[in-house]
Amino acid sequence: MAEDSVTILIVDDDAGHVELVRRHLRRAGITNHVESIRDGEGALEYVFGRGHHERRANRLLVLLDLNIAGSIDGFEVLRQVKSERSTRHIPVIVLTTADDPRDIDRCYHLGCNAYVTKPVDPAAFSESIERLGMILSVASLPSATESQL
Amino acid sequence: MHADADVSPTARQQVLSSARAHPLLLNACVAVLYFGSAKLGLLLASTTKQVTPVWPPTGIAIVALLVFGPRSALGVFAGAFCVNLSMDEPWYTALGIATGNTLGPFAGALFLSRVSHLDVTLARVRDVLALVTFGSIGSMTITATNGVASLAASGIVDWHDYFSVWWVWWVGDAMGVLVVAPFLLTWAAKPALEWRGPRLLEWLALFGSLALTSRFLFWSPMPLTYAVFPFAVWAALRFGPRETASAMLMIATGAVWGLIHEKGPFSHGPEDRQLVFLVLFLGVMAITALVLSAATAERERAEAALKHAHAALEGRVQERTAELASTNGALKRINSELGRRSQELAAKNEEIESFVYVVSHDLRAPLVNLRGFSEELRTSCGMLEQKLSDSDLPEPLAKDVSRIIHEDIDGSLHYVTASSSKLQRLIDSLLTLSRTGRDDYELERLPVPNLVRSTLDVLRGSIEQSGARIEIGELPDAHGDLTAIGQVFTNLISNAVKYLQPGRPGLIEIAGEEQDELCHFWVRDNGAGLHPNALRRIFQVFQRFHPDLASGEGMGLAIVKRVVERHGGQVWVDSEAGIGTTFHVTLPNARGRRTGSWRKIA
Repeated sequence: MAEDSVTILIVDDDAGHVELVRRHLRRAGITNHVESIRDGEGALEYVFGRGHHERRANRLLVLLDLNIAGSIDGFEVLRQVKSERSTRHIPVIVLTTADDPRDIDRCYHLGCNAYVTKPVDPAAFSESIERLGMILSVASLPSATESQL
Repeated sequence: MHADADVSPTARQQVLSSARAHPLLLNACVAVLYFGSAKLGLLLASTTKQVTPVWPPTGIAIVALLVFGPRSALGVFAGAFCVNLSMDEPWYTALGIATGNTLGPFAGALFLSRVSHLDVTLARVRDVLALVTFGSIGSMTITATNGVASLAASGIVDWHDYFSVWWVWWVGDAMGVLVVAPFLLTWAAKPALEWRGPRLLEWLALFGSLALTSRFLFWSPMPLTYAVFPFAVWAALRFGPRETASAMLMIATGAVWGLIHEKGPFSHGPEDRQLVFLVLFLGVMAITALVLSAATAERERAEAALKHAHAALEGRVQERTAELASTNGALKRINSELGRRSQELAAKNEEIESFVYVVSHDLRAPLVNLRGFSEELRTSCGMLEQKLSDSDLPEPLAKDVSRIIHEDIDGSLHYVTASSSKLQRLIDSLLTLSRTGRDDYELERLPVPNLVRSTLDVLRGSIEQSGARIEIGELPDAHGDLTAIGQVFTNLISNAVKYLQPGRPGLIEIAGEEQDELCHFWVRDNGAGLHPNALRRIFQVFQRFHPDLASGEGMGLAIVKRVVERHGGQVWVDSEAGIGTTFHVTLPNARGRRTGSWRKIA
């Protein structure tokens, strides 16, 4: 993800969490554009380029919380993104406070690329996000056109 | 049904309607009947014209005295006196005979009604025997003895002939009672002919054929008298004492009628012997038939009683069956109600658990912010202080700002952090407990001794540190989820280790015993013990009773209770402050159970 054209989309209804994640990503050296959306409907509109969102040319990485505002929860966002041919290549990392094994199983079953628990402990939290940032900084992502194959 | 009931009705009570007749009229009737039947009997007089072997008036006398009581004695006396006067006896002789003929039946009737409580339906063998013994043999001994003595005293009979005359007199009187009294008594007791339809035809057939047979037998010289016995048996078995007595009277009438016409089997040989044979024949037949009919009636009553008892029993059985069925129904209803309640409870429980789960998750999100931004603030403060030391602010101002950063902000942050940490531990505990109720169980045979040993291995450090001695008793195998039950023992044993009485060598006993369906385990310590007030709340969440002895969130026992109850067991505690505590747990035993799993307990 060395290319700056990759946008990181944080789907989380807690502005505090979004801010903390932003800060820790920045501390990990991530300079990509970070977008945040607080509900499932908005997230889907953004990903699918509907409504006032342009279908974006740049690539996307989603940090998804499960428990979000609105009638569409994180599981549903994950399901729709991963079941659509045009979007299933988009990496989705579930980033949530829930650590129930059943939730984790369900997310992988739906096709998430990673499941990261938001620790409550601040040290552990910053460590998790910064490590995630470091991984992202060295990871290669599929190109935006891969899905067209 | 029960003729022997306390006091059987007296003969008089049984024939109340006739008892209401005017005394004078009553006595006149009795006298006329007595007189008429005597005249009939005297047709057969032989020994002397006053003594006859067939003397129906005694039967009439005894029946009158039984049915109407002592007030009819005058009629008897009058009838007897008139009869004897009509035979050209001196008045005093007639007076003597009449006195005896009244006294005999009077004594007999008195004895029968007062002593043997005669039932005039003659449906009991004892009544027939009483009538024969007292009414016939006994009372007629009085009349014969007195009557012949009166005749002898008057010179009508020679004293030498006393016994032969006495014999004929006695036989005649006794026969009069045996043949006439049962007929009159039974018809007086039950005057209505209750037979209908085919039974009435049978009744008519009995008496019609008996009349014809008697006419033939007692007119024929052939000794065929026994041919009447089938009729006596017929009457006794098929009808009853009344018909039997009627048949007896019919046979006797036929026999006497034949004899008067010098016909039939009794008309041979000397006259006295003819009569004695006739009378013996009638007597034997009458007694036999009457006893047979009474015995039959008794048997029928017994059968009816048995039937009634059986029906009553059957009724009671049905009643009880119905009661049982209704009790059973009620139990079933209660049971299904219990089942429903239990399901409701389980559903509620599940609801609460998932509520706790969801809420604790939702509570975690703000905590992330609280703690995260506290840390951010702390970082910012560090950076601020760095900037401060790099700056060239005047000394007093720099000192003030530094104090604000160090003491005020840091102090505030300390409390925020401490409280949010505490909040986090509580929420984590809640999550653990709710997960205890949600985890899937793998049920298997649990080797409890191994389980306890491995638990002790895990706790070895804290046990050695406490210096407590552990005693392991007998431990039967149980049935349940290995991890969950391991958690139970871990909690109980670590509690025992944690809450030992300071300054006393610790002793912890772990033991169990197998019971019918369950295993009972206990963990006993000689530790600090608990106050009775604490015992009530001990299995609730967040209860901590010895915060000074050990740290913790007070969740362990709540988890123990949840796990044990999900296994269908129970948990309870005995404790005394300063003495020690025993935790008891029951779990399903390992006998006859298969392994399996379930998600939730319904």
